[in-house]
Amino acid sequence: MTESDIRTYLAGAETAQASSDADPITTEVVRHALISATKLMKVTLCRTAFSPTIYEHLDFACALYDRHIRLLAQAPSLPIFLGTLNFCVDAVVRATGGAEILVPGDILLTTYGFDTGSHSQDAALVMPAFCEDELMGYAVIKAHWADIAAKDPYCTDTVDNFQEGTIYPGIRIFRAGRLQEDLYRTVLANSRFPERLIGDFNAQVNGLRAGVKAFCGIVEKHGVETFNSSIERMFDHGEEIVRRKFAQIPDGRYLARGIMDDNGVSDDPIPFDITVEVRGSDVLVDYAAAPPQQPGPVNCPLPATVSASRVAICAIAGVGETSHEGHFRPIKVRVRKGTMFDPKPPAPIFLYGWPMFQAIEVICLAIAKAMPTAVPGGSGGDICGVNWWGEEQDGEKWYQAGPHVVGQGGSAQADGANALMHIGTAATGETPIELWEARYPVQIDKWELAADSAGSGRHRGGLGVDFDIRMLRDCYITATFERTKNPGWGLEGGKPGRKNSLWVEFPDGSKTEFAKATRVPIPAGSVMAFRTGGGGGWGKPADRDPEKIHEDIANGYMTEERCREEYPHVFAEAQENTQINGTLDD
Amino acid sequence: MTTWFAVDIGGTFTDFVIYDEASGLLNVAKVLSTPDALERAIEDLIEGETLGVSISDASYFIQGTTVGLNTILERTGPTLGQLATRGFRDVLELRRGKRDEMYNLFWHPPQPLIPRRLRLPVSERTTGEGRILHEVEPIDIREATQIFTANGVESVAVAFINSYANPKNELVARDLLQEFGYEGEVSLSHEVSSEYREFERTSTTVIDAYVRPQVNRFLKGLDNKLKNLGFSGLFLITRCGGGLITLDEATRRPFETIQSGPVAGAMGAAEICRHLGIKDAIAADVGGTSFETCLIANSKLPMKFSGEVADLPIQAPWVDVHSIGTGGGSLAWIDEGGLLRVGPRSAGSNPGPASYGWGGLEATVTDAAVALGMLGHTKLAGGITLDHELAIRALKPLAERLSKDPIELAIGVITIMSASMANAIREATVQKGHDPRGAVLIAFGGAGPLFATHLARELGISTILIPPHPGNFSAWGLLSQDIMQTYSKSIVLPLDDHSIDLANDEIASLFERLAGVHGASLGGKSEEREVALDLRYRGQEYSLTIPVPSTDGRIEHKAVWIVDEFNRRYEEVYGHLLGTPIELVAVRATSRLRLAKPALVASLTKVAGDANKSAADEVRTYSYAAGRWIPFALIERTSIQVGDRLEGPAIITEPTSTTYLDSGFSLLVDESGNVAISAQRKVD
Repeated sequence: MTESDIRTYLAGAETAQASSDADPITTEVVRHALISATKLMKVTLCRTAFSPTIYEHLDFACALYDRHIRLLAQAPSLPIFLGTLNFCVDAVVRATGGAEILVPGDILLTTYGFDTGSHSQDAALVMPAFCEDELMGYAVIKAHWADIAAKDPYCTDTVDNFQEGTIYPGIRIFRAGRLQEDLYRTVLANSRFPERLIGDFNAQVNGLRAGVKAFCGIVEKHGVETFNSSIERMFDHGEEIVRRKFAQIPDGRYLARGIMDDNGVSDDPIPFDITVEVRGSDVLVDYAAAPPQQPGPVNCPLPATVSASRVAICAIAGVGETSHEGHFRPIKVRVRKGTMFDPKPPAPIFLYGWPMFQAIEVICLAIAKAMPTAVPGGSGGDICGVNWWGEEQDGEKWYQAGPHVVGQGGSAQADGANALMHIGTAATGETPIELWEARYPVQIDKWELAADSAGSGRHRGGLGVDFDIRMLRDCYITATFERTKNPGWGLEGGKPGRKNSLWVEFPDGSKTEFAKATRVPIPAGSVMAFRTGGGGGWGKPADRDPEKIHEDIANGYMTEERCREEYPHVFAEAQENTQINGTLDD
Repeated sequence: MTTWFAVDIGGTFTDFVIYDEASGLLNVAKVLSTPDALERAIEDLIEGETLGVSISDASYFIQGTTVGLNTILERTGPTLGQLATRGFRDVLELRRGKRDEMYNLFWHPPQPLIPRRLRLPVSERTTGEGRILHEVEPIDIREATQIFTANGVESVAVAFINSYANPKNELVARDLLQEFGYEGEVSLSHEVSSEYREFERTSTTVIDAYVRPQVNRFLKGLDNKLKNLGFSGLFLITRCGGGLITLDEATRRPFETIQSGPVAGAMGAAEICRHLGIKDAIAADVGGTSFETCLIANSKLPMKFSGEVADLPIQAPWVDVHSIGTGGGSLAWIDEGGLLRVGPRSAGSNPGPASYGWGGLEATVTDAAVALGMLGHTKLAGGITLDHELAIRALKPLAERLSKDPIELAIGVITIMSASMANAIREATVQKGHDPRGAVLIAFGGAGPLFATHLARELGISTILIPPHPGNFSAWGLLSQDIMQTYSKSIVLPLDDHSIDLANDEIASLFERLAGVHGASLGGKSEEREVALDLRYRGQEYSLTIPVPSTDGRIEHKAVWIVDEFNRRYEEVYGHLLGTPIELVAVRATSRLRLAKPALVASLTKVAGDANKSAADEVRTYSYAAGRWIPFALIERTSIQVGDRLEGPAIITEPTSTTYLDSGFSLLVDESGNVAISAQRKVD
């Protein structure tokens, strides 16, 4: 590998147009209207979608872009998708012949992972927004389709991109508002669950149309010129928010190391280094030292690498509601071709999201070296996903999948939150137990916070959960557990939390642990035991307020036994008190 | 002859409307609320001389209360305990694992209302089909009882997994609690809600347990006071799903009373729509700290079957009012990137807007309106005098930071406020498949009429309706409701003639329970039964609630009719159809006892007291339509008569509100004589 393999990615810069003369009040009005338009896209999609993956887990992202493919607004949805959508728009427009030949009513589709920064199941649909015949921008929704004919419904062991689902390399699925029937039938033919795909596809198209209509309403109301100057000002404003935060972080190069458990096809851990360089208010996230691209599917295509960096930096900067291109401007991302964070096609990328989840936390860890109060300790670090499918008694096929909660890291301000989604899937929620049991052949034995799973510290980490699912019928699972070898780290003397783990107790009483495993047959009567990780602590355990320790014991968040080991100072004092007062019970 | 008392207790004001059916007259009063003892404001006013109507003549006393809401917001409820299925004691704390703020690394969910040490596990289990897998283990309940007693628990929520499908184990648990000596209140999840989703049902049950002691104390206390004052009529309370319930039902299901103000206003707007034959309307209620809006299509309020209070879900019928945290008292501020923002922080009633002169120094929306002359005069209800100088002084520091003058800043504050309300209206209409442009905007609340022409312009709406007494309109809305209760049950089955039979059985038992609710006090009134089904395409999660005609609560239609009806409605909402099978998800039974008030809408224009005919005055005010200061006619509302026509610009004042009629709008008092002002935008 040579220096020529290195590339640096920068967000869309300002156009030549002077921006600061835009009225701050109109800018605020336009900004909110754009957010409101993307919410409309989201609601339209969710209300009519067929897959819980969409309506429950929000495994999608909706956004509006301007004609220069700069992010205008996005609805709160899957953070790891949100930073990739500009790549989707750019690639699909180029692939179909360029912006010049787009006409109103066109809708373009791509599932090519190196363009979308996702596995092929995450299908991006893009619709140009023509406002009075002028191309003003694009609406885009990337959403997880139930199935797109990968070798298995969900894979952890692919060795090239062709095993991972059908590639639609940028096609016009609607031409001037008319569905291209031949292509559509091809798409449906390439799915194990075509009925769900029909529902989800239609929902996605409706969402796009609603977005374009709302977008044009905003342009029409303010006029093209005012609209354009307002968004420039909006971008400047977002950039300022991020720059202010990073200006407070001392200049320097901060290196942190993450370790992936394995690549899905072999067992060896994969250490990787990320350097965050802060200079003034500029941030460079440098992945150039990443290991070579992997023979298994944990490779992260460039759009996904950029997106992970954006999620981490926006979170560290405390970008409140929702981000746009301006927030991304201070962020540079440096990668090296042929590595895990910029793989060359046709590298396998099915688990592209897993290195993203790790990268987001490792970027935070790097920042902790500069400013330990700016970020929390490590979390369980994963979404502890399991996909399962099988047949009901009447022969009907079912499929279920979803992310799960982990403990969050403690911080300078407070204990870590118990059991939340990884920041990379922040807006997602768990499926209700009663819905599980009403819909799928399962019985849930336990869904509870796991005592003692948090890392100790002045502010302890948050707890993970214990989640036991009893299978009532035979089924298959694909497990995608990460961070089963390395726990969520503590900061400033805080201790690590519990690691993630998954095992199956078979009807004969035998137990097998799984982490990444594809199409494992699970007989009826087996119990799948999820043990999701806890967050790392912040600060030395010896500095923890004794009152909080007693509260933790009273509430069963921690056992007394464990607290005696982790926080001996409290019990030593108690002993003295006992001797002096002779009143405390043992 | 019937006299109705309606009282809406808000954070700042307690609003009264008294309607005398015989004379058709309306009495209106507004007094400052007494937060330390809410019933005192009511008592004082009833005992005072000003009303001119005696409570002993009243047949109905209708009450909207925020006691429950305040208990939750201020966390002043009692110590609670919970019994949970073993393995699931953390349902309340785990929620759904979502982060409400996408990019916040430090986000924490709100503290659960019950600490973990008082959420106690019980060995028991019911399956999703309602089969009892394990009976309740009595030892667990005995131990729990001891812990509850030792910790001073006053109210217990029992919420078991799948109890919606079979209530047996929850009932057994309650009996055992009592058997082992627990003497406090008990809320059972299956009684609170018979729908699945354990977190939402548990949350609702816990809220019920939490507000129960305070709400019941307040309602029973008020009931006693009213009786002592000579009231012998029926005491009714409004519920967040719309409609009135008896005192008895309210004390059994206190969570249903948690939010009433926004609902009552929307109810009033719907009543006006029905009376005037308005097809689609948008209710726009601008209060001091919040803005509430909803679409009223075909004179019906939008309903949903889950709500939220302080980030805690409530699984109950809920009038789908879209709310945002900006109102007249919202503060203007400049964020760290240099953009002007409005709300959600509010000056409240203490210190209030700077121009009130109560010591507030920060600029609010009201101050911006005062600076621009939009409020016309200087006197408001409750003896408030507006100080223009203080308003300008508050705006100045913000203006300087943006290199603007205070007037420019004030224009900006009103613009942002209007735009964010317009966005909320879009979210309540466009997102539900309705075009706001064809709807009538019904503006009320203290500041609604101030923003009515702004909102109409933003949304392209051509007709506005402003009822009289806009500031008391929510209290008037209380009068427009019927006695009503809805019970529901989850029942997930493919839709066919057989499942409709099963649904009919479930519906019959829901009506049986409802018959017990209305009780003997309502004898003589005939009950109307309404039935609705929640349906969806098999595979979807979200369902649509489809009202289905019934004969005395029994569905006579076959599945094929219901399929057509569902498809028609689905296409209306989502613009397309799917050819896949349809699934039944839940049945809903509503029992309604109509309280006929034929002349109620007419009463709006018949206020006790003399019309005040004052000479028209003039005031210089900023016109958004003209983009400059121009003279506005200053007119008292009581001086305008039915049939009068008036061209904007004008400012119309009345005790509870001020209407800003921008240039380009004209005003007409409805010919039918029934309703007040309608404003029409002239064609430009």
